[in-house]
Amino acid sequence: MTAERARAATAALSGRPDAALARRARAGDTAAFEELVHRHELRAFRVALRVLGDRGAAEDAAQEAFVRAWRALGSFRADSSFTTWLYRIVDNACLDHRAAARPEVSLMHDTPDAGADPHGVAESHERLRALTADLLRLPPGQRVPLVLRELEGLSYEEIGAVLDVSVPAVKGRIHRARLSLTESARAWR
Amino acid sequence: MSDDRPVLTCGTAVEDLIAAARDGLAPTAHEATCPSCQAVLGELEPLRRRLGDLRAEPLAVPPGLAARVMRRVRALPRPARSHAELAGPRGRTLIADGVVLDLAHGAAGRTGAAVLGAELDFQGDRTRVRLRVVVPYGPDAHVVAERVRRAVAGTLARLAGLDGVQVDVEVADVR
Repeated sequence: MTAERARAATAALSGRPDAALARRARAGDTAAFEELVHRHELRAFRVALRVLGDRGAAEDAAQEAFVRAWRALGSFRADSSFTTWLYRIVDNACLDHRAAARPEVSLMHDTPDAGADPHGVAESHERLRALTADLLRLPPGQRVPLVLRELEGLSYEEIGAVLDVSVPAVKGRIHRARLSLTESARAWR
Repeated sequence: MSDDRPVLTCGTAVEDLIAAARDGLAPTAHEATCPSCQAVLGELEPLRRRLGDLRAEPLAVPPGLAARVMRRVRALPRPARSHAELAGPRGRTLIADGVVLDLAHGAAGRTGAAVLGAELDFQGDRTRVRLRVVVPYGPDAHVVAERVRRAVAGTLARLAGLDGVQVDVEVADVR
């Protein structure tokens, strides 16, 4: 395929809804799947980073999740949202990653340009590190729903679908997560 | 806030209170004046701010992530069959499953039915499409199903050269 035709093919894919791309991908169309990966890679990486707390681990988990998604496309139902379906796979990949690796928790974070603003940036960076550390201390059963709600903006219903639990259970877990975080947040008043 | 019951003594569910505040809804008359509601919102305010900061933190995808995914995906075995096949005197025409499904989706959608899912399989030379649809409330469901079937079979014959496609329609819901 010439570069021009490749660009035209990519442009044709970029306007399609997720479900149509998933349908094509399921039939073996790798270009359609690649478009889905580009659309969702930041989301997958971000959630994995919030759940695992480590960039390298998050990248591994996100990569693994997409490969699993490709293999599992046969189980994707067009009447559910691709995003919700993917969140579930990412969550599972994170769980497996934790179980397999279980390294000492490292809190690597994007280090902003320290030279730019010696005080303000460093302080806000410190605050984010502290919150990330607090999140990692939550049990996974509370951390994941809180991340999906507060950082990813999912509804309680969507979180219930991702985690296969009832809406009241989702609310209860998030509530307990908030309580723990509020305890550890007192230092940051 | 010392126990973990998600409902306050005033009867307000804490998560609902927080969700409303987070979504920017104005507090109800009760929430605005109730001391326990106000106490909870006040107590959670620092956490809300910190989570907002984390949400706003700029993150970039690690370079090459998609490329590494696609290398692994392309190394996996391909599905056994992914094309409809038309034999002709001077060669074969292959039409990717995705194209066939897109055409089926489009045709079914134009009849007024909403398509929940479509699947394709091949039995020898025969192509079979299975569709799950939601039909509008009103006309008989089987009439709509028949219209879907005719539209899909007609479109696949006309645009993809697939004759005699079997179209199974499952009416999954009525709206």
